Amino acid sequence: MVQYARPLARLVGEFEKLPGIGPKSAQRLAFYVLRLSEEEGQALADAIVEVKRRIGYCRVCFNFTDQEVCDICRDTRRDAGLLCVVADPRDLVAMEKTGEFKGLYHVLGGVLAPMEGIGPDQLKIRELLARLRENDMREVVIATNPNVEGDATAMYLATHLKNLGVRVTRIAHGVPVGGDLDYADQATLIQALDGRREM
Amino acid sequence: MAVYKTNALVLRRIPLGEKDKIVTLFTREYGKLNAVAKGARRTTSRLAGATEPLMLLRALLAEGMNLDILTQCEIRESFSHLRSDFGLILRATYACELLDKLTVERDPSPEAFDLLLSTLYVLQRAVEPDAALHAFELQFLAQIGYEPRLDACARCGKDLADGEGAGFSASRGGLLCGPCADATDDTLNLSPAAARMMIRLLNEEDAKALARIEMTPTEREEIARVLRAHLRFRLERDVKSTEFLDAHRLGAMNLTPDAGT
Repeated sequence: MVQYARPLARLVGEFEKLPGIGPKSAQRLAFYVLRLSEEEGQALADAIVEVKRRIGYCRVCFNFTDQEVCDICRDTRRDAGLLCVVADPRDLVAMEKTGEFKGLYHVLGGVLAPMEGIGPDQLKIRELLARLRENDMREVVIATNPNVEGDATAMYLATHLKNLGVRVTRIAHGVPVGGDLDYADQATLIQALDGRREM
Repeated sequence: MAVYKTNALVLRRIPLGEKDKIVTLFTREYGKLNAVAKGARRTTSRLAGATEPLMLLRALLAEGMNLDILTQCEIRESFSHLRSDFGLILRATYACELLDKLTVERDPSPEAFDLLLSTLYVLQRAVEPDAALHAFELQFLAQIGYEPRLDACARCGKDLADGEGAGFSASRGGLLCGPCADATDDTLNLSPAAARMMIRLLNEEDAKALARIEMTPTEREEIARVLRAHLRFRLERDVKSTEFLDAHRLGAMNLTPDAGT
């Protein structure tokens, strides 16, 4: 059964390894690449190679960066006494997009997941504690997801961070903006009630 | 049975695609099953909160081609007290994982469902959470036929009244009498007091009584070690949350020592 010429089959195969891409989508992407001009194709290939070669972890906060220390950590205008702890670089991006948070970040690189065997040693918790010992921080905001693993991670961190005498807070969880109370589930509403605020 | 309703406990969930989840449900009527919760990873999804582990649901499922679809659900109990205590989360997670590892799909076991559920309730108010957890381990093992022998020597069959054995062997699967304990390689320490506690935990069905049970440090330590060995021998595979739980019990859920910290 001849399907593709060998180089094309290879490209389809590579696309198929991407998340959420099945054989049909892989084929579509490969045929799209085939129609690109040579410069466009080269630009795509270069972008992939450059990302793999140049992106690493920031020495301080473990966000992705192409330098030793990332732009956020080097920015002197940011509030160095305020630290937001996130699980994943994508969470950092989400927080950063709000434009509201002016402090620094620390990326854990995951959450505690007993069933998957991910413990504190696999996360950047040791580095977080060291960072807090070396720098004078006013407050640590824990921004892990409101699920079992996120809760467990937040509780674990809170216990250890409070020993260092720093104020520890966690982002609120409740009804999403634009949401509908009628359609909110009980777990969310309970959280929203617990976290209600004086007006 | 194109559409069916059932009570279900969420054991675990894995992400599927961009915004869906596959949830492993333990249902009273149909046993363990996997179902797709469509859109459950969007923050505005009604299923989002309900499809998290340790949620007890009244669920409406529709038969699908491969996996069934979780179409609607209502949270019956969210065990919020469990969720707000690190040690309890670890214990509840461990119980779910153990049950998950020792059951097959679509094999109804109402007894196991009731046991797990009552364990979660008892954990929330137990004086000694480990007593509730060990009672779950022992009673669940009894349900599936892996119950450790505690009334007689597991090697020679000699009657051992009141837990008066000389040790415990995982490979033999129970208490040992004096001579047999000496003749067995993997004999673990199990004092008569701890053995009696195991018998009590194995047979105590009243939730209120279970929640009030207290254990001495020796009992706690010996029972944990003996059950761990017994389970490992029967399962022939590791329960991943075990390591966490053990570390937490030792109060050493700290990072491994290192010059940096």
